[in-house]
Amino acid sequence: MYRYDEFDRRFLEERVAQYRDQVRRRLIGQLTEEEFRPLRLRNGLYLQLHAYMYRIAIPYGTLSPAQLRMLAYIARKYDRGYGHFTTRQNIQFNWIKLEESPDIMADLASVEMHSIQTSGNCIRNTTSDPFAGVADDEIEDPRPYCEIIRQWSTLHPEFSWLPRKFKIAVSASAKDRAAVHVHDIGLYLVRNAAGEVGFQVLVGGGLGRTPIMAKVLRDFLPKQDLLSYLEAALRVYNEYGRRDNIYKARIKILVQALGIDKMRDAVEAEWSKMDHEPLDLTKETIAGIYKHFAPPAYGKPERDDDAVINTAIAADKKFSRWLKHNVANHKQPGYSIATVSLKPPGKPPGDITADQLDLLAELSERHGFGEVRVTHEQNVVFPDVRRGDLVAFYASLASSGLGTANIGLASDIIACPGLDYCSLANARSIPIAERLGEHLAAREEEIGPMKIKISGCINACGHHHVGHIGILGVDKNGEEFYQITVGGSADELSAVGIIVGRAVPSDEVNGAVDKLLDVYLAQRDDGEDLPATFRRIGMEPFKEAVYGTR
Amino acid sequence: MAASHESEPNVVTNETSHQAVTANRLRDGIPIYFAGGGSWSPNIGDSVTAENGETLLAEAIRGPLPLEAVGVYVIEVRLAEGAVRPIGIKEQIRAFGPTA
Ligand code: SF4
Repeated sequence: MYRYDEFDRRFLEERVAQYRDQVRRRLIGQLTEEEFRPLRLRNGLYLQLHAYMYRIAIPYGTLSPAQLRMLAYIARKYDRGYGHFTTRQNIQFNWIKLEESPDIMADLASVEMHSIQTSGNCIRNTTSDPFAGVADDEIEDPRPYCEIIRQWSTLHPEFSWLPRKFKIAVSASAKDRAAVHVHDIGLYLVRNAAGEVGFQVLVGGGLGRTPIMAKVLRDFLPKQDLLSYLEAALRVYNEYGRRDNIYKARIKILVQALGIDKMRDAVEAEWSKMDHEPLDLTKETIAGIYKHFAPPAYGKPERDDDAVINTAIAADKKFSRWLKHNVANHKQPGYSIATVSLKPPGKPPGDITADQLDLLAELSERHGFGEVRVTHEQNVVFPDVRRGDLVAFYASLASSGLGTANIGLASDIIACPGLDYCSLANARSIPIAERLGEHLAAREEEIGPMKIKISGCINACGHHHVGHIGILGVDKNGEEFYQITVGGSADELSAVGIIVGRAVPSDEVNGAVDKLLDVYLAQRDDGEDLPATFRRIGMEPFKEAVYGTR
Repeated sequence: MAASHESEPNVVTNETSHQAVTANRLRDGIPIYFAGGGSWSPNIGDSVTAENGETLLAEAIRGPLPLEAVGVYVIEVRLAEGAVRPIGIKEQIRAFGPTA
């Protein structure tokens, strides 16, 4: 894992001291709320329905045992004993007191974490593939580039007041596990015809009220040019992005207005007149960062690993199911990637208790090399579990309520906090997810891979646009209703879902989703996921199933 | 402000119902209700109510300063058997906590 250097440590110490003084001055009335609000937001502190909410960045989703334990400590000491993982690899605490927030910032700094740039019109936490470094289909580990982008974008003076927030994601596998197409800039590590590794650069993706999939800005960018090219793209956005209308301020609207060809011309023109040298990534710089992500000292596969697993499969149906859904292939023989589901049906998606955080820390030391990754799907990945340890690992999880075997299935629902916590919400998300997850758990094995995503308002933090089935909370005369979309996808074949029909009341959501699933099960061809069936048969059968013929 | 997770105060005016004044407490963010005489309470039952909340609002933001309340706004309430009940799901969740 990357460790902070002297610069990182010093800037964080200074920031904690500045913030502590700002909070002090606000509490005694020397700063008005108008003056203070941008300061606290810059430090990730929002005011929500019940309390302040503190959003902490988890760079590219990676956490060490010390960091997990600190999050557990924060949950116990400053919150109500739990936290919530978001769709951008952050964690949020919902019950924070302003007067204690400087102490939290100091505690986080002690484990090399912070909340800076988790709000505001700046470059946010860079996200990545939770299987980075261990995926068997990966070209190269994307994390070093995420770290390079983190260092470049943290407190970047030119990009601290962009027209709007800016999100970057990096992936290196054929299978997109980072929702790259819905980011302001998406980067895929690719190999060109000459066999060199570089980046395909996408631009202008995003969800919210105008969902748009990113377009290719450059097919191949040599690695050394990563930062200078990003800087050129950000400069074009900073200069031409709209500042007069918040709903039109994201880079996706600029790309839409200019067209991708003109956008490309503008970026290339800016890039060609820039002095690249200060930003060039030399082989030595890249190698220096790579050292922090060097593969751990993997052991050799044990001869009886498979025998242990096969015995457990025969004896324990629950383990067998967990193995099938939650465990993926590792590039290193003898190891597996295990995903811990934070979606037990009937519970809030993405929530984790302090005790569970402590347990994950302990397990990451016992069954790994002291590292976990949080995913944008609100689960937690253990990247390096020895195959022979999987049985013991599962037993520890199951005894703590973390053994749910549903990764990628219908009850593995993404949901934002919605109206139970969020001041922008139109409707609740969590109770809808809880009821739907519980309802679908019985048939999810038959359904197979399924992505259901729920947002409490059009800001789309729950990524509903790219759910195979998406659910959006809307307010109709003070009542909560839910608009359902079908056919969306966040993977490499990304697509925006289409609205099926009029919004339904909350007690009709389960029934409507059942009907959509019935159509899918009846009509799917072998191996087809719901978006593929939708592309083939169109909306009519889905619409008719939910609303009847007119 | 879109997707900033912070809403502008939503002033609801409906002349036929009662109104109260709410905010979040500066030091810890919890929902509080204007209880008259410069005081605030975390209990909606302590709210002072009026047919026109704007007068209450003016009184509430007068102080004492610095104000312990942030984001002060008027809400619709209903008076049932002497108790003050918020109208609308959002204010009910604010007053009584998350439902999940
Ligand atoms: S989608 Fe809306 S309701 Fe959900 S967290 Fe985002 S802003 Fe809040």
